[in-house]
Amino acid sequence: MHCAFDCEDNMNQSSSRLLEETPEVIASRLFQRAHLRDGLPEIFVGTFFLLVAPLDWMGQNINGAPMAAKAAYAANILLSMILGMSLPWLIKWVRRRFLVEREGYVRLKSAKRQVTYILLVAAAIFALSLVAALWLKLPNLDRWILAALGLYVGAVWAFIGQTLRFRIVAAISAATGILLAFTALSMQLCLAIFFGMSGLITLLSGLVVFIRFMRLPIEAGE
Amino acid sequence: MSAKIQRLAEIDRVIHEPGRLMIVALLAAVEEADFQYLRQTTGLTQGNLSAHLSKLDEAGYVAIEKTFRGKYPLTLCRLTERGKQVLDTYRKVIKAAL
Repeated sequence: MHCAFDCEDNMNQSSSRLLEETPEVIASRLFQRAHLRDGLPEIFVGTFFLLVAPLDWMGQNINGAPMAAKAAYAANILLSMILGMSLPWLIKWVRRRFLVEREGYVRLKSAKRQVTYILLVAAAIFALSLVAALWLKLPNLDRWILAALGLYVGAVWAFIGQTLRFRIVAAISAATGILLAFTALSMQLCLAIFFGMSGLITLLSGLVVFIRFMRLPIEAGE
Repeated sequence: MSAKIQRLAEIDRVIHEPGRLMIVALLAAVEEADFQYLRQTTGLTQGNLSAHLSKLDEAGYVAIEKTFRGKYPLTLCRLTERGKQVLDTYRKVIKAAL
């Protein structure tokens, strides 16, 4: 019954939206929803954020630290770089290796240009704002950067997900960045808290979705 | 205006059905997808999806290929050039009329 309502809803949405949007836009939205339904992107991105979170703070306090702490710092840098660079490939590999019976197989078109352009424009705006702030010699520049980083990460999450859970993660990330900007904590600690908080809620959200997804019964293909 | 409205009578009925429209719109965004992926993404039941794909295949809008990936059987579906043209025309006619 639930599925029947879902199906009908999907159909009605697709039919009505076809009048206002191109089929590519509608299909991209369906594809995006499918891409996020297992929670894997959130799990990997959340883990990446958690790995990155303490880097700056650890870097500041590494002098005179025991050898084990230095090794942990080096391992963290290496893991962050590997995970950061292989994220899309890793998600695809896990799905094809372990989840293909549940998720099915899809081969994408070479590039989703619209999304890439929007993310590039957002990054350019962020960089330009930074240059402008430096040029204007704004007081407490690091605090402005922290607040802007929170807003930027929040906006990217909201844009990518376009669902309630992503909006919640986006709102918490943005609020964390802005609130931390008003504290007297050091910038290194603020960044660690920001990425730690953002990573943790992203990871938790992904894990909940993943567990729910794995509990769904596998239905045989055609 | 009446000419645009009258064009609605010529609309392709194969693609006009919401389930098939959803499948075609989804396939327009990817290179190819298998049966399971389409079922998960559209939310259609197995029987419904199978029936819709057969109709789209008969009309020449979707190409279906049965293959394997390791032990996993794949029913790969991809939108044909004819399918892309029909979807584009469908959208233009509806948009102009409504």
